[in-house]
Amino acid sequence: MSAYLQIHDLHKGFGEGEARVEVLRGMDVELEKGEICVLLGPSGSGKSTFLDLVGGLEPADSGSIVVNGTELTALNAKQLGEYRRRELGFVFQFYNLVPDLTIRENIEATEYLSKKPLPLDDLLRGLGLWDQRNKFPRQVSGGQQQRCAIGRALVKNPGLLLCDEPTGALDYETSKEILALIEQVNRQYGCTVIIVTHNDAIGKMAHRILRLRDGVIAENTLNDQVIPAEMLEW
Amino acid sequence: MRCPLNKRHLRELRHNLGRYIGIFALMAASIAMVAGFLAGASSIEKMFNEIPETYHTENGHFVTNDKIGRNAESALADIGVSVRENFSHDITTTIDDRQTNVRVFANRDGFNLPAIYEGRLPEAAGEIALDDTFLAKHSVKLGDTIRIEGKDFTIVGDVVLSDYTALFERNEDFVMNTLTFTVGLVTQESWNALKGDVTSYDYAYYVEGYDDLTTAERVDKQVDIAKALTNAGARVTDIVDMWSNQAFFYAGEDVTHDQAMFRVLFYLIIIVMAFIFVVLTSATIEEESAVIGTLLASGYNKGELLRHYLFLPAAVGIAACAVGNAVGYGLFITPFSGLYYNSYSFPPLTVRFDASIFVLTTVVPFVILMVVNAVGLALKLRCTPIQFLRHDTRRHRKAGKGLQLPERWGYIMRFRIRVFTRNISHFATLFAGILIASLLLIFGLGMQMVIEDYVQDMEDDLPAAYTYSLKAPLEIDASADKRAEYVLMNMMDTGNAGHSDEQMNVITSNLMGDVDDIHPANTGDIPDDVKAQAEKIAMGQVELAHKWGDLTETITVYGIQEGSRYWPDFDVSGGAVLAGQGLVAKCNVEVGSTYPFFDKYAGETHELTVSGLVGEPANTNLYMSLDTFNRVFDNEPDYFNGYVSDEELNLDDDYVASVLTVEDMRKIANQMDDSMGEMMDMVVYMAVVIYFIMMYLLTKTVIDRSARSISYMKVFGYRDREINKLYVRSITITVAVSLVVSLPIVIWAVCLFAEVVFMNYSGNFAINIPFWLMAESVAIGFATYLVVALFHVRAIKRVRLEEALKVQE
Repeated sequence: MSAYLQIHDLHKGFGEGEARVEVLRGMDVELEKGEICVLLGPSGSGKSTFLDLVGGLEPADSGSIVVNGTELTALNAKQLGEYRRRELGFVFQFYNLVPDLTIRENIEATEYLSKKPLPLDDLLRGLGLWDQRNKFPRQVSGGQQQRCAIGRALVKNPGLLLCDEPTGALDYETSKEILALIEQVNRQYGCTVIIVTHNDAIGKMAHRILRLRDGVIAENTLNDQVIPAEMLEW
Repeated sequence: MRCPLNKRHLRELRHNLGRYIGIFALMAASIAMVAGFLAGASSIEKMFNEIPETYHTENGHFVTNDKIGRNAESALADIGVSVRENFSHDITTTIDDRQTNVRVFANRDGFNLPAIYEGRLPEAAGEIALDDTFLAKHSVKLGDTIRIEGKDFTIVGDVVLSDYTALFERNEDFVMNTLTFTVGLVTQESWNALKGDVTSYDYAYYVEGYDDLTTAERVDKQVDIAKALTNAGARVTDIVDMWSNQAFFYAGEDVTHDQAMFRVLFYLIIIVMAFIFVVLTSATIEEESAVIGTLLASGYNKGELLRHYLFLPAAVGIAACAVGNAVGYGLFITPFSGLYYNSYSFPPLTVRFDASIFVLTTVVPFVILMVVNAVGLALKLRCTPIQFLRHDTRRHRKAGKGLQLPERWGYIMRFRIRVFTRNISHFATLFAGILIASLLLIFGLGMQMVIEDYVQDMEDDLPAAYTYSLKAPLEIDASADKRAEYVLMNMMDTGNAGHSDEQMNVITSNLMGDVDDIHPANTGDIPDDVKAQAEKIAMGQVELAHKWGDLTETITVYGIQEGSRYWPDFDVSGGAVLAGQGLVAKCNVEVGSTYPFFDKYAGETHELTVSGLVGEPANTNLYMSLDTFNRVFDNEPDYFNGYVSDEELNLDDDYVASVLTVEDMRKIANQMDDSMGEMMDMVVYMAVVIYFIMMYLLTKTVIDRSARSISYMKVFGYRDREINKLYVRSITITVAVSLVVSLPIVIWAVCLFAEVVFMNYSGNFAINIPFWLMAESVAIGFATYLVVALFHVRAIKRVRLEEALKVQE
């Protein structure tokens, strides 16, 4: 049986001529369905670019990305949209909630896209947002906003959850709560999770740790001593 | 050191070039049109005000039923009035296959002088100079020949007469008539040789110290003139002060009137434009909120930021004022003044620079723009630095809870409502823009119909196929002997201009003795059945103050037969006075109330109580029984001066002042269409341009400021069609609702606007905007929006996914 995510010889650069920067220089990796993968690396190593390519937000220069049997590099913009709609959930560092929709409505924004969404009320309760559901993003804390962002990504029950520095804007305790939540949804719904982060400690909760350096995978480790998120320390 | 932020201006201009070009275009176009219009109109107005002095135009004129004698002239001289003979023949001829009335005057000597556009004044028999406006509307031109009373007259001059700046055939006419009426000059010899269908003994009068007289004193003077003439044995059939003479004052007043209207419209557009700038710049401030917060935190003060954000509105405003004025003065004066020259007979135009217009089209709009923007942006910049840093600029009114929407409403509906509430200031400004554009559109589209309705009302109110107005009572039912006497009298007429007092006295005393109490008898044959269906009427004119403004409405008073077959529903028995429905709208007339109706010819005011309302909404006449009429106006009991008849009456021409038929009503419609049609088309085009630019600018900002959210939607997997459904359809619904909801206000404004426009016209223009016209207006507005929406669909398609990935803080 083939892996859920297969990436082979992936290249991506930006700019032209002398100003061109090769961000990914032949990346190879495979992830199994239901894995939590933490992608570590310093700034500029290509972590976010990798996420954008897997998310179908940017086209690759060359190489192959296969998600759940679909070759992304062969898809046009419209097909990539359908792919994101069907397969993906995104969680950003700065939540990126629509400011004029309530917490509930922000989650409904993606619930609307799914034919078989998760029960919204249950999800709100599960995320601890039930009491905040009618508030606007500006009226709740950063942690609650990120919970909402996770709920928004999860509600359509995606196969792949992409988290770009999900705790980057949060304090220590809230960060652990959010990571525990991600861990919980992974367990509960079986989605594959890729977490991009600077924080090495977060790698300890992952099934797989990837370390990116200068556009290539410098380390690809299966973690056989997974620590629950609430036990993490940094 | 210059503020480094200034470097952003050019970049911002480039970044939002479409937005600034749109605002610039609408402002510059508005300024250009208004500058062109006002420069042309004010030049015309100034020139018009100088006409009396430049062309020695009469202070007024009176018409008698015959030449006045020396004793009458002396009587007038005694009250400081001098007169000049300005006799005319009305002669019907065919020009461009239409029956046309040419009013022929002899060359004037030192009074009511003409202005010559082309050619010269007639110098020999068989030469004629015709009115410029009439010539412009017909195929005849200089050098062509027209046939008058069987003689060929060569057109040698293209002129305008200073006492006919508007071609009103009769002062009581509703509109001028440039299509089938004109005035012309011939030599005195040629004039003497013409007989004329109708000859008018018209005298131009000049009053000593006229310019110093108040309006009331001028009216008093008219009364004095009429009394002096009557006492001297002359019978006055008409007397009109120059400022009551539509042929003279109407054109000037129309030009003055339109300027005020244009100014109001212009400033409304500028105010809306200023608000557009405020909402657009506010959107930029929201977008740059974090930067502003950082700048404030770094030591910038709000004044510096306010100046920064005011720079582009100021720059665009200055550029629009400069370009607008240049284009207006350079290109638009001729077409706009041409709209007036198309209808009126003004002397040639000399454009004069008027500093006040420059101020009105440059300083005032710029100041409006700056004040509205300064206040709007200062309010926007009230937030604290931390609020800016937190992108919380829209919540500076303390922590609002936000609008809660019931969960039972579908997500899509709630989302659309959120789009609406988030952009409510944009939509409020758009609503104001839609109001103005719809006002122009419905006005432009509806006026043609209002005119049609008016003419139809007037037609419906015509009591008979023919309404004859007589210069004196003329009996059609006299005995054969009496008729024979009058036939003989006519035979003794020397063929020149009618009968003199002396002739009449000699003839009548010889034939019949004293005829003072006997009416002349018609000499033409009229079958008995035709006579039987004709009814005698009396007509007079009184004035009543308009409900607002200093104007007065000239009202025709009809004395009719009790139980008349032509006014079967008008019960005028028992001294009842009935008022036309139009007087309610125009003069606030109510049943049971008493009003002072002023008879300027007699200098008397008649207090009359209105006992009922009759007729169509356009009808501004008064009706009473013939007996009541003669009692009110102090006439002999058997006095009358007209007939109504469904059959044509063969009346002696000398006694006929005018005949009103359905065809005359059609002429009114044609004339008004000719005068206003072009202007109305322009108004409609302007409305569509305003719709487009305002809708584009304001709704584009809604899309622009939602770019990040749209990008999120794309990242989540929304299809463009679904995003359109959320955003574009929200805008679409708002625009559609605005177009419909604004209608009651627009209709109210159009009615008010039209009332002002038509205030000068006789009769009441009832403004009824039918449903289909409202639907047409909404459809045009919506169709314009659909074009705008196509741009938005394209813009949404172009929103990049990376927008969502930009770091927000």
